[in-house]
Amino acid sequence: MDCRMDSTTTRIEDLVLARADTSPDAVALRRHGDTISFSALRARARGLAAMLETEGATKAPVGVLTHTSIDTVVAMLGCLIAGVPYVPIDPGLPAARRDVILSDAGVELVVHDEEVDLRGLIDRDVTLLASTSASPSTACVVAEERSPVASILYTSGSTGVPKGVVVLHENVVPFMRWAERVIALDHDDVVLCQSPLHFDMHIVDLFVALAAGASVVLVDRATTLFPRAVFEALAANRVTFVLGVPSSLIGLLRVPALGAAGLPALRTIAYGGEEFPVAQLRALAALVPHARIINMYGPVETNAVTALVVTREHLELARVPIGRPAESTSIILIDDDGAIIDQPEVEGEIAVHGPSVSPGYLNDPELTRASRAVVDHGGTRTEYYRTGDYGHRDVEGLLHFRGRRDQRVKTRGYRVELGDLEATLERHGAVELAVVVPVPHEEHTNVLHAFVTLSPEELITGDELLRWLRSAVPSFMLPRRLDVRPSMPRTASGKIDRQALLSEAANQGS
Amino acid sequence: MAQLDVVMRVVREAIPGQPDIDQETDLLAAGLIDSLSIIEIVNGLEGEFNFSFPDEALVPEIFTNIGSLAEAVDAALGDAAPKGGREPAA
Repeated sequence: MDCRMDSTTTRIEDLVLARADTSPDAVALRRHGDTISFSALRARARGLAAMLETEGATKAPVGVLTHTSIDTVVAMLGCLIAGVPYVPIDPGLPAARRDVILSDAGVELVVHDEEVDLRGLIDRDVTLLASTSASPSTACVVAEERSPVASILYTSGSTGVPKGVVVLHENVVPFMRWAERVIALDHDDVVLCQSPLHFDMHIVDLFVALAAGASVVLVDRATTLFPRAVFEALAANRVTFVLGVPSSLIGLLRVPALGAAGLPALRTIAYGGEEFPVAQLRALAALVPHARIINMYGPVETNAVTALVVTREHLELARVPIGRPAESTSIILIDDDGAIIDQPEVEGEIAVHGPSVSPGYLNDPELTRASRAVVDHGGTRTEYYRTGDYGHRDVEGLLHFRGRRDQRVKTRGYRVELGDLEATLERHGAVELAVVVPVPHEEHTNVLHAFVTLSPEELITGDELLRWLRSAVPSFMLPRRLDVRPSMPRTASGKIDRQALLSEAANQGS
Repeated sequence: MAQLDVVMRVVREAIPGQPDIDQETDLLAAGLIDSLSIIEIVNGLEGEFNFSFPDEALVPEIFTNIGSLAEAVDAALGDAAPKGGREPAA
């Protein structure tokens, strides 16, 4: 069967692996001194796809344990070639949460690399498949039925149950083309992949990069905790492009070598996931003056949908704007009645319509419906995705982010629904009420501080509860402190006074 | 070697919930420490043992477990004491 691709390529793996024909021997991935060429990567991915078919994994989504490694990238591409969606599973997830995800997505088979700790997955009702057990294959076999779904990305849910964002090939491919253009990636680029692979950033770090023919350097999760080690990876590999959440880039400011013209090869830095405090961004820009900095905004439900190339003028504002919409994407601001706001400087909810918008949440039509608004836009009624982010347009048409009005916060780039943590805590037998407040932090955006009241007759310490919580929620969601209180402060109308708790938490310091 | 129990205490205090860990617990692999804990541990150790870590010493490997941290403290202090031993009081 002829697998040559044309300009109407509609699937991710075809875009990514086209380089196997045009530059077969170029280095696609690099990790710890191991490399793999584009043609070898394609062969391994095809081999895995063939093995998935042999295992009968042709319909249900396949879990991929996202330990950072070449094997994991092979696994993701193998799933796509086989025509099944992959579900990235953070290997550090507590078993309880991981099992909820596997069950929700209907995963029957999990692919893993050789290094990851399988952590009790062995007892679960899923087939485990080592990515390395499949022999590479040069045969191009197109699966009979290929799912339009590329992946299901799980994110924090406000009721304590993670929710799966369905991501289609037709969401990702247009996004890839736009992102490649905005970042100006080319085959001579070297990209540092430093975000966890279960983040939607892997779409840029892996797929956009590889489709452009760039080499991707994979960095271990542990290494990313050490700014100096990240700096060394950037320097030693002569990285030209890096995407990160602000907290990861702010860490670099502490590395003295950065200022001594330490990264001459770096051409572009992009950030997303959180707002970058302007003072820190100014400091970073001053230390790498030769590099462009791009702000890319968008939740996982839409991927990035705006971009701003940051200029000196932007760095003089109080907050960095989020810029202009992606190709074929319409962004409007709507008021509380769902009407479009035309006037500049007026705050409204940011709503998105475009090819990268996910069709919705897996198994949750109600949540999907609630996240949409049908808007009358120039005579036609169009469905927009409501981000829950609020912002405004300035007189020049640039978009600005202002904040949220709900209980979703960011902590070092991770999205956390405070309700997720609160509901989980309240599932502990000893806990009556739980309130989590986000204390602003100059590097981590927010650190979480929890307060609980106990059920009658119960005695447990904050530390004991935190230790229990570690087995229930991912480590990024763990509050920095947990205080047991005799009661919650209340407002005049009897509601829990979150502001008072926030003040208390802020005063205690972290 | 730098007192393991002191290193243990500094590390536990930097981890929310102060979980039970032993000398062999792989702090990084277990996801017990994040970048904030790392800063707290470094500050804590420098305070307890009254020294400053040289920049080059702060590599991921030293945070593998309590033992490796204690060795890193020793190296920074220039302490050549045998592993696991402390000089008996005179």
